[in-house]
Amino acid sequence: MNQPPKDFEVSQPPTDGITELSFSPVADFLGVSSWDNQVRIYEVQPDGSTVGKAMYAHEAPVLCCAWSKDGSKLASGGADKAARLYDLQSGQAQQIGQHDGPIRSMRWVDTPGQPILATGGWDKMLKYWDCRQPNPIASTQLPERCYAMDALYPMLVVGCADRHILIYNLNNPTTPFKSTQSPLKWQTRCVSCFPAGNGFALGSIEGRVAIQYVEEKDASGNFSFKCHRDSSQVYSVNAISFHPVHGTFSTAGSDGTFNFWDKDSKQRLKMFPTVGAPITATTFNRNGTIFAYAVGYDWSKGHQSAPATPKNQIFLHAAKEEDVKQRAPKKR
Amino acid sequence: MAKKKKKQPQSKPWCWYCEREFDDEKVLITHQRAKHFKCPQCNKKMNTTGGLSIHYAQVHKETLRSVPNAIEGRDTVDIEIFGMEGVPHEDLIAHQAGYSAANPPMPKRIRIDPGINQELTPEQLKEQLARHQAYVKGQAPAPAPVPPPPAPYGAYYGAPPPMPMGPPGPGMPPYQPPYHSPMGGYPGGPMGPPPHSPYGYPGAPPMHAGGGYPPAPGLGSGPSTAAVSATASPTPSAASSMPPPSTTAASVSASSEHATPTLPPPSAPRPPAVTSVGPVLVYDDNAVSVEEKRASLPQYRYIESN
Repeated sequence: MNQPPKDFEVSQPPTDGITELSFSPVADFLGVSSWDNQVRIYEVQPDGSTVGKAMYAHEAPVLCCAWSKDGSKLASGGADKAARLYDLQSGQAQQIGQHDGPIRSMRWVDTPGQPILATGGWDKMLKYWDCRQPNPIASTQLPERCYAMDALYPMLVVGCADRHILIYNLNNPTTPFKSTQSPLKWQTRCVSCFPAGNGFALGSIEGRVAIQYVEEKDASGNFSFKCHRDSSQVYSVNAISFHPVHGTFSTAGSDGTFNFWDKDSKQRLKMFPTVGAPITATTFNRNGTIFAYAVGYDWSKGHQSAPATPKNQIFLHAAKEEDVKQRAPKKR
Repeated sequence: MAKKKKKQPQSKPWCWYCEREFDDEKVLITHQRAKHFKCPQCNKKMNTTGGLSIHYAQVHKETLRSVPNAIEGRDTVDIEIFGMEGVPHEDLIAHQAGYSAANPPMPKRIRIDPGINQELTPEQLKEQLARHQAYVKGQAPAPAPVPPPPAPYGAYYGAPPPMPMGPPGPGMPPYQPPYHSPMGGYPGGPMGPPPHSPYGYPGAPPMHAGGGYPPAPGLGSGPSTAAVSATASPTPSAASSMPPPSTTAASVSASSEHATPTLPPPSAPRPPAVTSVGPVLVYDDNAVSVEEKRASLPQYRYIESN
């Protein structure tokens, strides 16, 4: 009864915790960044099996990765304070950006045709790179260390330490369009933009998710809800991923479960039993048929609780249409 | 005799799971459906624990071990209770006893009192009055039991003998709450709105936070798009976007925000907020992220090569 979902396991997974999963916008290529200093690219076959495609290294743990819009390059950033760009065609990785502290999060924010990478670091800086010159084309100070970011042109949302949330209009990328505090009372853990581009979801370390609209006229639709907690413990929400087609989203937590939700009807569409260890990263592929999630210890209980033989796995879940489709509001 | 009195105080319908009383059984059933027979996972409301556990097993593939929001010892799923039906007999009696103890059939006694009072002799009254005065002055810590004739309550207070009819109140024993408080562990409890929506996800939006930020001044055609400098610090615009508390949502969020300073002590950040036993945050360091802690460990630390 309590079996884990029968999902496809990615072979030859990273040897340490997985920090971010990113699916190419044009193909079923999965980019994976890890604490083992490596970035890996897997190709997902139609039958669910995976083939290792490429791997390149940072000089320190890699904390984030993101595919370029045309799917030709994978960018990554890490504790070595460097942003690197891997070219799928040439098979070469090169450094394209530099921070004064570890780079925690990055997103491609370009308009089509001109690739621009935004990086946020623990040095409280937000920098924009055009991948051609060693200096950022723009940079701006953040109020705190960057913990999470997500972008959907022309919106960039940056979640920082101390619950700062900054929303940038990418037409004016150095001045926040809005600078606010998270509606959640605890540390921001993840940010994800609605595919409709009119808002974003925030996850905090206190098992809570906030749905926020950007425009004031939509503010009445803002709400937050609890999740990833049981009667005695509250787990952090480690990842939120929106379904690219249906606009529903997933949350995954330190409790090792993931759920699919519909924010508009305020329903949980589907919940899954625990996978036995925290889920550290999630993503949907470009058409939302594959939901990838990374399982491994997320350090939420500190160094002492790290398992002796850490297991790090990536699973590919075939997202069923009925589990991710929006649903009519339930009568209550 | 004009009216027939009730034989004994009738207890109101009460909920076996949380010892809460209700004015009428319909409300009780609504309460049980909302509080105790609601699926914690999907908020579907069932009529009994049986229904709930079957739903839980079939829909969520898990076994339900305890009834949600029930007080300790009353969270068994084995007893089928619907409203007041199915409540174990001994608990019914115990509750009735507790109820009678808390609400002794006062009116009756007091009615009897006058009759007894009139049998007091003036001497006895004087004695009682004196004792009472002494008691009031605080000289006698505890009044000695009143002699022979059954001591009417009113006597302690030196009420004039003929008719303590007026306010029967003062004669009553020290105030007791009308029902025993529901044995701890139920903070949002019977009174007052729980500070947070007790329901999981689709509850009423608990906080419309961060609602109305006024648009930052220089949107779109800002001063210097190409200004590549850290001088474009976000502080000025942040400050300017604060003042007008435009919508109610904004002010609500502001006030709720104020309740917790930016770094609440991890121990008791929001005392009555969460459910009964106070779930514990697995990771509660609000100031530093897990990745920062992890990255500072020797095996992950980055040593610059140059």
